[in-house]
Amino acid sequence: MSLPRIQHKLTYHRGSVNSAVFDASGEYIFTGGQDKIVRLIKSSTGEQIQAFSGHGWGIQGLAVSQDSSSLASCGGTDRAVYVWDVGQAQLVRKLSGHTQHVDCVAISGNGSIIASGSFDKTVRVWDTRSSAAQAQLQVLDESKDGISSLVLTQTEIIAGSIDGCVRTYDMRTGRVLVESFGGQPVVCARVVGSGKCMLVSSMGGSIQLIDRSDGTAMAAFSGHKCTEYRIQCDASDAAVASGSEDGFVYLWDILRDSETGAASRRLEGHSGIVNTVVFHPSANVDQAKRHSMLSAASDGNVIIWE
Amino acid sequence: MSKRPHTTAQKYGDIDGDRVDFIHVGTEFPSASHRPSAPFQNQHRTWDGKPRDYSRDAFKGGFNAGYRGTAGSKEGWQPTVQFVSSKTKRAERSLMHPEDFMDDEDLADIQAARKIAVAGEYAAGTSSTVPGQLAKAEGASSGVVGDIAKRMAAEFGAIQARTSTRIGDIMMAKMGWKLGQGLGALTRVVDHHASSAPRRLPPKPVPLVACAPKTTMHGVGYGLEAGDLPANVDDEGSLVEPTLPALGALFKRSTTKPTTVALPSSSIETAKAKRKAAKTEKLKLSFDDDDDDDDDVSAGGALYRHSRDSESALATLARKPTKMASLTLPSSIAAHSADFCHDGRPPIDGFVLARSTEPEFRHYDGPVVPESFTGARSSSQSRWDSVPAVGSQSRISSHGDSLLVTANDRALLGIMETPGTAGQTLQPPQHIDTETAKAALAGRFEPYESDPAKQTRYVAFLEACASSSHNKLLHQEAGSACAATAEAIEFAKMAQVFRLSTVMSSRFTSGSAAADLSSSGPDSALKLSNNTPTSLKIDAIRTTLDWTPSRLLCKRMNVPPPAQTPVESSSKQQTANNKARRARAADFILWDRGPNDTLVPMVLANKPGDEPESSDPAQLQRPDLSLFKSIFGNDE
Repeated sequence: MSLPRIQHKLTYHRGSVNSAVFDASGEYIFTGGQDKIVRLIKSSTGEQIQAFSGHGWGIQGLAVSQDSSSLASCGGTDRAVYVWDVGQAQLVRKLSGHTQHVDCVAISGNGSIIASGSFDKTVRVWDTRSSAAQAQLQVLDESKDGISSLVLTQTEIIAGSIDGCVRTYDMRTGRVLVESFGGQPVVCARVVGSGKCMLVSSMGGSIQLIDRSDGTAMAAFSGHKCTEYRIQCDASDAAVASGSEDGFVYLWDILRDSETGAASRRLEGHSGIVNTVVFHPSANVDQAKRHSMLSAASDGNVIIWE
Repeated sequence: MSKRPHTTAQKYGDIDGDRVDFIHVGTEFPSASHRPSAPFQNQHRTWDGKPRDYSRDAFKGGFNAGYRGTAGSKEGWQPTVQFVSSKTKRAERSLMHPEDFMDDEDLADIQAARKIAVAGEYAAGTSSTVPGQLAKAEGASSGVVGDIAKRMAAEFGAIQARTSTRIGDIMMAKMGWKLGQGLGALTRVVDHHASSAPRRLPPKPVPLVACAPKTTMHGVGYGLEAGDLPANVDDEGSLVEPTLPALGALFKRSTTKPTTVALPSSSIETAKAKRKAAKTEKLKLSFDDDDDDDDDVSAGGALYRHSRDSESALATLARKPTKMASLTLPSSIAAHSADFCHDGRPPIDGFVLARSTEPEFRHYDGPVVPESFTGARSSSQSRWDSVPAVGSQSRISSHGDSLLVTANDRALLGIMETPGTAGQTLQPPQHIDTETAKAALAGRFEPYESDPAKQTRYVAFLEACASSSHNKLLHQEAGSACAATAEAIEFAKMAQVFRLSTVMSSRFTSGSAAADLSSSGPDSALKLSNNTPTSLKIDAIRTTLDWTPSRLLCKRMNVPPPAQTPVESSSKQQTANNKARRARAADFILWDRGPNDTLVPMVLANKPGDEPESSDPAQLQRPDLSLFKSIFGNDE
């Protein structure tokens, strides 16, 4: 596996960058951090296009709709979800209801449904098309601890919790599938492999690649450090990448390193805790983008790898 | 009350001189004989001064009435009253002025708002007619007129300053405070130019602190240059006090990269000159010069003078150079100005700037221990050696009295008596049984990776326990026997916890042997993957619960709702439901004639299909259904 190189190193943020996402096309990235600003940056040039100000506290999670017209962001002590109009760069709505800080947010493809996970152990589903009084559609409170990650698919809501479980709310069958992974807090849950696999990162330094059909572990990856902070990971069809508290970006080849679990590559570029790593949306399709990814760290730097 | 005269008493005759039967109230009229007669001319005048023969009737004077005495005169007849057209008055009345709509208070305000300015030719040596420029022309003032003009201007300025738009002043004014009164007790001010006694004037106004919002993530004072420090925003304070940087001036936004820049000396001199000018600036007192302590409005906050004590303090401050060079970093400030804080001000009285960064650690000697004292544990043994490293809270004393570990636990753990106690011999530890040792070995968990020697001892300990060869001392390399005993306890604990059947052993595997799945206990909740020796795979343990998504959520997600989702009826359907419900309710409610021929609902106990309890149909009179409809209304 070839080693990705640093294409752009962005230093717009002041303070830790907690969340970074690609838009659906991969041409733009959204980053948010402790400076309470969400920045829209062009990934090819590294140029900042827009800054969204409005949060009163640091930003913990970002989500972009499929058409890149709506942006959902959640802050720490804000206890609310902010919905932005990307084109107008304006705050459209502010969804309040959580009683603790909101750590993760997910948005549906058309931007009509927003799901937010909070430290108050609930996942709240919001309807952006309804009025403010009726925006909250449903509250999912099956979790025993805070929600650390959230994924919204076409038919499911997948919530990873600090209580060590990943809960999948299936809207078609009306069932909640609770999957426990050894009791370690789940810090990141991602759906990969066209929805057939799920990547679960636990505090303690292990990443499980789970077959969603029966819950068996197909592969496990370790080597990175994740003992105190919420470190996010991502996977493409060929590789698994994760941040780490030691400042490196860890890469695993899915096929080769699944046997040993040890990281095949360790990318250096950050000087702080690498909070999040995201693969390019076209990494599975475009060969040229197969190593393209985005990493954000607590040193305030955002690195676009190519 | 007056006594009757003697004549009255005599007239009545039945009283003595001291008894009084009646009293006089008021002043007696003088007797008629003493009353002066009215003058002749008044005797023939009526109450309004008209002569008595004055006719008050209507016109009876004839055609020459009013013209009496005017025939042949030069002026002729002149009407006594000039004719005034009412239409003219009407026109005047339509012209309303603002004063017509004002009451007395408004008019008083207008009067107070009228300003009186000193004409230009009487100004203090200048041709300017603007009152605000009078203060500037102080240096060129000459003559008595100039002084009076300045006093008047100052007084009028004080009057103008009575009205304040600041919300704090408004609130305090409503509580009885007056502008210019100052905050706090009156201060004694010495007028060294005049020989009068010290005056009591309001205290000096507290200067406002200029605060600019901090929009950067930098620390306090980072990137700050001397020129960025603004003066006090309070104009009154700037007149009477030296220009010192406001406290909030440090929190100013810095748009450029901070660089260490030395303040030019000219700026320091300019600041000094400003302070001196403020110190020497003298404002005359108001012309209302009577020593009335209650008269505090006229002596506004800007009119008092400095006392000599305050001037000395100001002079001291002015003399001291406020070195504000290189304000970018606090350390550089400390390096340049040894006597001032980072903002250029001297420390508060009673405080001294700390220059040494290293704190002075004071070490206190411990208590003197008698030589004959023998503690609970020997001095050669560390307190942590007696505690198992796996986190057990048991504490073992040398006397064999374990405070937290029961006797059974001690037997299991094979707790040894430490040396130093009389009559005790060292026994080889019988910590774990053979099965546990074998299970621990099978789990292939190898702790103490950072200490290979200890790891080797651990494996040897497990092997020795598994082979039941307890007689040899295994921990000779560990040092003293006490440490060996403690280490054995720790190894036993580790083996107990990390044996194969537990969760922990499944998480950590070595790379040499495969996991022994047969030794896993029945309570093993995790399945292990046996194709990767160093794999950390954990299969998910699944449970399924029921969940009902809301219909709107399913609608938004374009997902058909599951079967158990409750149907939410539309409004029309609800209306139909309500109609049907009321129709059913009508079957239950019967109306009865109550007192005063009123309808009283009578609820049936049975449904309409059941046989009524009472077989007398005459008692049950159900009105028509239209009556219910008229009462409950129509849903459409």
